[in-house]
Amino acid sequence: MDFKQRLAVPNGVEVVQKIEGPYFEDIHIGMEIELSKPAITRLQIAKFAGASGDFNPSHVDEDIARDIGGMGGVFAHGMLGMGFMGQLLTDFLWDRPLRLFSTKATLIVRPGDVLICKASVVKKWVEDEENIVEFDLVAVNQKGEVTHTGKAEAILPHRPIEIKANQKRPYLVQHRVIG
Amino acid sequence: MPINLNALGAETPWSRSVVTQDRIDALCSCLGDYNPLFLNEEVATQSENKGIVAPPTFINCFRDFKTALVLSETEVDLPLLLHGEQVIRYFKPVRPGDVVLHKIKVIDAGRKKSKTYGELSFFTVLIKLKNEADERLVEATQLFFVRDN
Repeated sequence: MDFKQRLAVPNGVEVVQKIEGPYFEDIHIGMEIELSKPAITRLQIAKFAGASGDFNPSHVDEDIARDIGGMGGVFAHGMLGMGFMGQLLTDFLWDRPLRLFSTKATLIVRPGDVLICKASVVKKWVEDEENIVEFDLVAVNQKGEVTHTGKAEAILPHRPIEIKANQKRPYLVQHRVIG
Repeated sequence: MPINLNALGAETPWSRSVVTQDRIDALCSCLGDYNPLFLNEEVATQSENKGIVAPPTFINCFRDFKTALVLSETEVDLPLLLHGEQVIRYFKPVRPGDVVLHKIKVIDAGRKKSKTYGELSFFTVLIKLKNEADERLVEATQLFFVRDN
């Protein structure tokens, strides 16, 4: 069965398509990417509790979250926002692997909040044989308040080298070795 | 109430489980992340991944005995717990069908002052995922804060 049917992907949701790249040389310091997520729902928080096995009542039991937790009601798992940031990265990187991904939850996220996740390239370097790109991450809610910050490092290949036709010179002609 | 700082060093036993497509589907579904690299064998096989891989935060779905560790060792009152920070390091991809072992260990615990909540307790756990060949797959540290009231 097609995964869109299997997961009942809602109509209108755009599914990321296969992309060519990205390659290390295409990434520039200061480059920014962004992902806007729909408003967080209580059902989504409950589903995340089920998927992760984290049934802390702060996330799923309104009475306990309000009366014992003293947090004014249920709030989303910090790792839900991290999952959104992961999506931002993998939508962009496609099959390029992450080697490090960290986030810090800085503000409670509640049902109804709308998160926008952003990543900006802050550094790129070569380490041993790996080409590394470092992203600064931030998520903000509908009020512009920062809910998460973070960092990620991805490994990106460089395109294979080739001498293009217009770059060929007579001195590049390969000489036959006479033995 | 402060947590039990003697929880430092406590750990769960290694727990064995099989990664299933259902578990990956469940995480993708609640995130609203429908990247075919996690869900579609045909597309994933044509990628550099050479098959379906789990999303980057899938390690959050491995928590056997974690609640027991948190309740019985750190003596945390769950509604007072806040997740602060997580760092994930990747060594090899996790795929459907993989048999993985994971364990969770308390690697730091103490008291500190928070701007928002005043003095509170904190503890950090290390989560390790490895395969049956003893190869590291993914490791994460998670920092938690526990308010006094």
